[in-house]
Amino acid sequence: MEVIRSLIQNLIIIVILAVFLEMLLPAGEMRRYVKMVMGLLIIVAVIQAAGDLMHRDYSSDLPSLTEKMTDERLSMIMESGKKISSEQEQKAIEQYKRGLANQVMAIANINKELPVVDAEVMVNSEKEGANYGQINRIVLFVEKEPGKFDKQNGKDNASIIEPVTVRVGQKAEQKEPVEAEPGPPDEAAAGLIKTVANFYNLKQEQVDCVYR
Amino acid sequence: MDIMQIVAIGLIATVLIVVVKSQRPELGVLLSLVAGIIIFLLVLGKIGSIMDVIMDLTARAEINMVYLGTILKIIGIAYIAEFGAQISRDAGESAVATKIEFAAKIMIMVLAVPMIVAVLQMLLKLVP
Repeated sequence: MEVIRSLIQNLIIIVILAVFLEMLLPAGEMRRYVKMVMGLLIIVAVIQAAGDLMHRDYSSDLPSLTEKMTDERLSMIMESGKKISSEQEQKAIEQYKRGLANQVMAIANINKELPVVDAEVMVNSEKEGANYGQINRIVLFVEKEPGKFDKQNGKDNASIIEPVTVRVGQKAEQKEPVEAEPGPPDEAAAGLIKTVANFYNLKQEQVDCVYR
Repeated sequence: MDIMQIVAIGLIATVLIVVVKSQRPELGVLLSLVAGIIIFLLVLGKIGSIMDVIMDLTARAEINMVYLGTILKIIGIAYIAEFGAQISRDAGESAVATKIEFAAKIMIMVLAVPMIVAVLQMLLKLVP
């Protein structure tokens, strides 16, 4: 009884909807066409209501044009998903590089001969390759003047700058070109490079040690 | 009363078009176009309440909203095409009006095709 009541209610609503929609139809040549499509809608609604009575699902798949619209939306969602995913991967790689750099710093600081202040790790970021995430190169930055900044004590031991005197009318003194800074001591650097390279199973050429 | 405004706009436009048409027929077409747009804009705000009722009825009848969307699009196409075709006819360009109507019919059919397929599938499912 309840089912029949529901069916009749649905049919009443469908009839009212049909009348309401028919009032919206334009006059003239177009009316026939719109009326035909509206008739189809009524047929669909009535069959669905009747199907509910018989506990059968007559609702068909979504029409093809609608599916196409859904596909467009889906592709937009997929595209934005891919974008977010690539951003996340980029962030993950950055975090991985930072983590590795910290680890390299910790290993390098075991060596007391050279004060390593920073480390840069370059990893393979090509997703397609089998070596994705593998370490390509490690650069260790060594403090040129260890006494300049005492990290242990946190004291800044910067030297006092001498006052500059500007003399007018005199020829400027020509300074001799400054020679290129020598790299860290060979033995110490080699030991450091070997330690880091061995730990990460890298070739020694892949690890560099430079002055900051 | 909005209807008074709309009728007034319509009558003023009609008088202007009749006066202008004898001297400058091209201005008559433009005036007709402007009057049509103004009247449409005046009733645009009220369409929302009609849409609410229709959507409520559709939800109660448990009809897929996609079908209602298609019907509303078709009604919109029909109105716009009628509007364009009438203006073209008023300007004496019946050939253009016929072409506008033809294009509208094609677009309506394109939108109706999925619905026809859906009805066909449903009817075939009914057959034991």
